[in-house]
Amino acid sequence: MWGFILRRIMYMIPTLFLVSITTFIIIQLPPGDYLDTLAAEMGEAGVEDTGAMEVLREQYGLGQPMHVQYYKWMKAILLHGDFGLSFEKNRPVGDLIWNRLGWTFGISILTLLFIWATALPIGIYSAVRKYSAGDYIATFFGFIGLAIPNFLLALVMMYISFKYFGQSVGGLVSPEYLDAPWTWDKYVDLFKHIWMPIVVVGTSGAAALIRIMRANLLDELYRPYVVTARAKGMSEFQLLLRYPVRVALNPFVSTIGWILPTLVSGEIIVAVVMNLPTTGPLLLRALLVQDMYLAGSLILIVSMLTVLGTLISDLLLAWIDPKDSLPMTAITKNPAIDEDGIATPEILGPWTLIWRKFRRHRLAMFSLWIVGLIYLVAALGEFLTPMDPHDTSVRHTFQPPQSLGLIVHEPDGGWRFQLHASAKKMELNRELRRRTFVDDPDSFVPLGFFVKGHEYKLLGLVSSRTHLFGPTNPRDRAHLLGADRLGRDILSRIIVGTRVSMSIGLVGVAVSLVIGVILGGISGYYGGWADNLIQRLIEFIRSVPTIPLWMGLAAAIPLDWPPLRTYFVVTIIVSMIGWTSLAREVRGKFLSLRSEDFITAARLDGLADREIILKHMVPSFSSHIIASLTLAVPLMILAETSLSFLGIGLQPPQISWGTLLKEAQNVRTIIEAPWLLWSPGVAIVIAVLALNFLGDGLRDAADPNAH
Amino acid sequence: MPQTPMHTDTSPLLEIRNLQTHFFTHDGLVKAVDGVDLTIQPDRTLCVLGESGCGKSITARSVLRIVDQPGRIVGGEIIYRAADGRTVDLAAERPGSRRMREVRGKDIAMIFQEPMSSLGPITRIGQQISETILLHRKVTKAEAREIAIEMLDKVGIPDPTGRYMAYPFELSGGMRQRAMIAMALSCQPRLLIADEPTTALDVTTQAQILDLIAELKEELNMAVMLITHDLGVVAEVAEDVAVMYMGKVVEYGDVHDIFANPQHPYTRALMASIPRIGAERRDRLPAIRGMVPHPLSRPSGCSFRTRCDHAIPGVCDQSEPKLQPAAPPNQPVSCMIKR
Repeated sequence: MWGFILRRIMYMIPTLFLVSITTFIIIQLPPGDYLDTLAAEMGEAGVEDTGAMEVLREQYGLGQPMHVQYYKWMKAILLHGDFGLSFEKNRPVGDLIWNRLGWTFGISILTLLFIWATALPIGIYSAVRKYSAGDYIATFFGFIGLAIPNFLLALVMMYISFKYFGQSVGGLVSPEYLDAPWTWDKYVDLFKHIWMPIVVVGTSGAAALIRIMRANLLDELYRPYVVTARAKGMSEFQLLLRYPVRVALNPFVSTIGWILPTLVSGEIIVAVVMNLPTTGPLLLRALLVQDMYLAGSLILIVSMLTVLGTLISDLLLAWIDPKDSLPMTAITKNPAIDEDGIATPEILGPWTLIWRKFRRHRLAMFSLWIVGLIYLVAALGEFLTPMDPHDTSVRHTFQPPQSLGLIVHEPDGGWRFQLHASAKKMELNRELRRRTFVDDPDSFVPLGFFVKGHEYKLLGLVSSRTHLFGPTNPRDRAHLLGADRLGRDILSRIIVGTRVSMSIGLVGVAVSLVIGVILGGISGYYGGWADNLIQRLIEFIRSVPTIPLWMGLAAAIPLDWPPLRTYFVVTIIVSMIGWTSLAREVRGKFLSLRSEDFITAARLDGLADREIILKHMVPSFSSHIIASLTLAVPLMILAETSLSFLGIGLQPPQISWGTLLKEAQNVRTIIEAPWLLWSPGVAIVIAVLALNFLGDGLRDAADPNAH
Repeated sequence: MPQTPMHTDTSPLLEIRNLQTHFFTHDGLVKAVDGVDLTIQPDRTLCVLGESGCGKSITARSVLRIVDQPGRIVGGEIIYRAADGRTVDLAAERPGSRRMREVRGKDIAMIFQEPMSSLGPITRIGQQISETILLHRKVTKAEAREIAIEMLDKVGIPDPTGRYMAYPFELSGGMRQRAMIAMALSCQPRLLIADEPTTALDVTTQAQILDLIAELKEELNMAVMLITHDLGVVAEVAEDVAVMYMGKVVEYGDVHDIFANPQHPYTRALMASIPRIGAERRDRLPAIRGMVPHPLSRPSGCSFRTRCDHAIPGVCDQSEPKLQPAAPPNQPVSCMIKR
């Protein structure tokens, strides 16, 4: 036991070392350095001073080779606790970050408590009252939490809170309390504000925990030892808590260590939106201006705490006896023989059984249709758009959505059927000193099907001008979901953005699949030093918190790269983290299968390793892997959305749901033009929800032990 | 062990009349228990004998009302007679009712086939036993612990005080089964239901466990309902035997009579298939031809007729036979022919 602890601590040291090197490299990746940014900004302001630049460069040691800079930095940290100087703010990094770190971790821990307090009871209830109304509601809300990107939820909540409750938005305390001493009133004000970031960051964590708890508990609820407890005369509630819940909780204890960095990571984006005094906004700014030591120190500290968290969770795991899930046994097809002429029911193969189980899960079937529909939209692309997504119009900037109508009234009092969009005209509102749009009852925009519109290439191959739906007169403009700040049609942009967002998910998952299965398989099947090496690699990658890592990598993408190349690099970045969980899962399955009797039998029969893996092991867990992949796609989509929202990764004029949301980045914009937020937001939520339900349904169907 | 002839004048401890437990599955209705009649006398051992899938476990679980979904008792009665003479129909109770929970563990206790998966995996066995005691007896925690250690000693576990703190995975199979027996008997029930308690154990351990059950039965004046598919076990411990096939009792009687003079074609075929020392040499053991029919497609009339060498078309495929006494000295049997 102590030897184990000692060994884990020993492993930590090279990991931390590697983390620090990687952090430093990431910070250095973008071409140029802080002084270049400063020069650019000064140049814009019309100031010129190249001499001072050289002096500064010398002073900060920026001209020296990388390893020298790294060495100086690490030396300062380890020997003096000096994390360097922030170029931009001209203050020691230590001063800037400690206060913010305190808030970050304070909020994260409170969020952790919130998650546990809500998710565990809901998860337990969901499992015990499976398929009841309560279960569906809880699952649904859980999924909503999972599907809505953190920042989107933050924006929505801020909007609601401002519009309907008049609460000041942004920051942790109201403006009047900012510099005031800590009175009781100030605490009350703090609580009024702090619940929002906690709930926002916590919902996705709670959603994941609910699902896991439900699944774990369902695994245990029907086991023999529960029957024994019942046969002893225990009440249902008592035996629930003392036996299956306790067993189902085990895997959780080991995840405590991982949750903390996830919270810190997730909180970063939300903090940017909500203007919280935590590390997030500081890190984003530092990355964008290449304030090297500040960004590096932040990432380093957060990573260190992650590694510590991993250590804690591994130690806790060492206390526990993990339960391996049972592998799937293949049921072979037999012809129905019966001499007495009595028909026997069919014996079905495993995939048939999975499909039948899946079909009964109505929500999952429905989601399958929705996902198919979304991919169809992605494929058909511009055939479905009523307008040209890139076409700007000065007269239509920020136009609100136009409503659809069927009946048109003639001037002489009659009416006829004509699909149309109500027209809006622009007016100058003298009170608000702005342009506003009002309904124009005297005109309308006729719409039709299979109309001629702007030119595009269907599936990238065939040129066409026909669109499924749109204004009958190609010169008309109909904005059914409103227009953005350049007058471009939001509906058309969302449709076109579907392709990019959904395909990043697929491609990312494909990359993760290949890497994850290969590495996980080698690790699990062969064990030994290969396993060790791969596990260390996985641990190292997981130690660096995802958001800062993505931000760092994405910020390194030169802005002048062609969009396609940027797209692929963003995909690779996003899948780089994804493969680690897949690899771990594959490894786990291989490990548990390796000791199964049927594998030993296969080996004794003389099968080669490759045959054993392909013919016997892979079919046993392929259904689980499929389910995992389906669940990974929405995560990739959310990742791309988050990155684009922050302004790194995909850039406008590339259209993706993330870049669309970037337009709705601050609350002021949303209050004036809420459709900028709602439309892409709803699209994302629907897609992610459908994929999640689908994946969940697949996983339930593939599990042979599910009741 | 003493095997006395059946008494018919003492009031039975448990009377199961026409019990029907059906499973409402997606693929159809499975009549797992389809009209079972059984009687358990106090202080006697009843063995319920049958192949896998004949419904013997479900019968036992129906008594304690621990049948899992989608199964339900749809008909019949389970009359339990308490020590003071009062009776209660267990089939009519709600499964989670207080009366049911009082009966479980205290009046009727049950041990299961797989001791590894039947004991809570991350709870110490001592605690699992104390828990049972605290549920049904008014004692303090310390007293419960003492009783539990005593029980562990009684079932033959060495170093009971140390073993009190052990987890199930730290014990061998035989030890685990003993621990389960200790847990079941800790409140001195009047009936012990043992669902294939030795199937998962090797033969030597099997003998030890059976001896242990017999010993404790004597000491505590208990009745035992032992479910098994092993004729050797029946021969060793049974006083009364009920033979089950496809959800029904096909023959019922004293163990001597069943072995010496089996009436039902199924029982006869079972007896004939046992290899015996000293019997004439043969090339093949006579096995029962065919397979147990799928529960969703039972044969009409007598469910055994497809495998029976004596089946009479026109009689056996028409109506279901009921368990009724054949002419004495024959025991009750359910066969269209033996009426």
